Amino acid sequence: MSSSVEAITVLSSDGDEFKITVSAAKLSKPLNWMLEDVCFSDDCDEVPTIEVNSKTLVKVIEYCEKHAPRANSGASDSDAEELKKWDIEFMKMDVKDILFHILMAANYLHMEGLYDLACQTAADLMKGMTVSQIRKIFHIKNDFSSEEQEQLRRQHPGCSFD
Amino acid sequence: MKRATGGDNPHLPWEIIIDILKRLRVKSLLRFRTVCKDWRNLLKSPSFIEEHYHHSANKSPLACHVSNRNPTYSPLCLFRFEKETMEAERIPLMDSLNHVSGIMGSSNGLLCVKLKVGDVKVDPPPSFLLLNPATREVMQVPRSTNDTNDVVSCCRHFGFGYSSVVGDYKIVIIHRIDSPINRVELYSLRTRSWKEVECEVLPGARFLYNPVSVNGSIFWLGILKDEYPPRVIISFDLAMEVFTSIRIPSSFFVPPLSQYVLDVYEDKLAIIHQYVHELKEVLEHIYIDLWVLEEGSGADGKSWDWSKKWGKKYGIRACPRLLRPICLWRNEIVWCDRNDPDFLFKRTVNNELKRFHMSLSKSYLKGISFYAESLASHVS
Repeated sequence: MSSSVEAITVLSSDGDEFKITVSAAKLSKPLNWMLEDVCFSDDCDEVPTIEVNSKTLVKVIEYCEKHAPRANSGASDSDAEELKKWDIEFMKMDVKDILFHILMAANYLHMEGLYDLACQTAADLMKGMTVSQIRKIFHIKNDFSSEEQEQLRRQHPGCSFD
Repeated sequence: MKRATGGDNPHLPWEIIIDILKRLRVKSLLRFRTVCKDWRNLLKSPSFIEEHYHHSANKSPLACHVSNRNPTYSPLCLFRFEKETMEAERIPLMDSLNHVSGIMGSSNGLLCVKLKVGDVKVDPPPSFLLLNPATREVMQVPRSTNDTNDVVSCCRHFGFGYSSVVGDYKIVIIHRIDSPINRVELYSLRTRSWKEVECEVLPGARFLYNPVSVNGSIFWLGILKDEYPPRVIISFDLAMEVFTSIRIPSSFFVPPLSQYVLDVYEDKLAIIHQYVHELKEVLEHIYIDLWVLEEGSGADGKSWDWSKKWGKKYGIRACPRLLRPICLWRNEIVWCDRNDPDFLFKRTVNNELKRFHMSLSKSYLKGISFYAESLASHVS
């Protein structure tokens, strides 16, 4: 592999170009493979596409660049603390728009840390939601018949379908 | 098909939904049973219940113990370790929990608690409750037919554990009526019945300290009269229903002011061994070694080996007798200070002791059990 390559260009699913550094791309196995392909191929004109939309990919790359130094070299406890704080701030994004996209991207790119963080953020958000709000964000239809609802209410007094 | 109303949110694959749901507290999951049939079935499925339990045990285990000071709550307290304090999460007073006198064990999301004799108006009174603090399910365990005489209760040892091999929770009672003969009774939650169990290794055995349950076995630190060194680990395999005695290296027992505590480390039985190097009233340092019991298979079936995971030196400037190790917490030791009426906990950061305020508790801590939330149900 050519050691001179420090960043590669990738395309988002909407066709925008993004640069990602080699060390940051190492956080994701699929990205890392892509990178090796690019570096080994003689024909460097081809730009690999990542099946993640631009809005999401910006955040994913931001996460990778932040976490890359620690993932590649190991870091002290104070760095780990700092990174944790950064993660919390990072997840304060306008989640309703993008959190589920981040989840899908982290899953697709095999990024364990980001996936875990996004799952936990989703779980924390759900805590304060009503049942109908949950159905809405997950696109779920209430498929209990009125008899079944009645039965559940008897089994679990106080349970709510709204 | 009904079109999405969830804005731009993509439809998440089922595996991702499961990964999110297993990070939720039981309280929320119970609320979300009514979302749809798929979710309801998922939340009832044993595989999800197990996955959720493992997640909650790794991420946010709670310490629990019994304190009788505050009459508006049940005596059972749950504590969440935070950075500076231990926050109490109390269980609202339920009638059945009013008479809890001690925690017998905690395993796989259920607690087994002992009741005060004569307090419950059922005849014959139940001696134990099994409860799931997260789902608030409580079940009375009937007395065994042999267990009618309360005089016996002062010479009993208890154990409680879960075996995933047989998918059952079991309570063990070891009676020491007239030593050296021991009689052992076993309650199975699955069959809802008591029975007697053979106990060949036990004649003459004395049991020390609270047992620990891990990996389908219950372990006690015990003394066998005719052995040298006399201290052994006595284990009870909940699936096979057999007792085994396991040797402890005699080198464990040489250092002065040794104290031993059984605990769990990486899903294995561990001994926390605290000792000093010289005998003085006030010492600068105490030493703690962590030993772990590794299970292997030898020619005669199971074999057991002790391996030392770490040894640490702690600065204390105090009388080492007053510091009693209680448990491991995220690979750190938690001590109880025998001298501190305010019930402060200490644990280490960079091998220095740090004090932790334990809210709501004013009674001497005999032992704490660790508990993690689970959807496990023993009622259905």
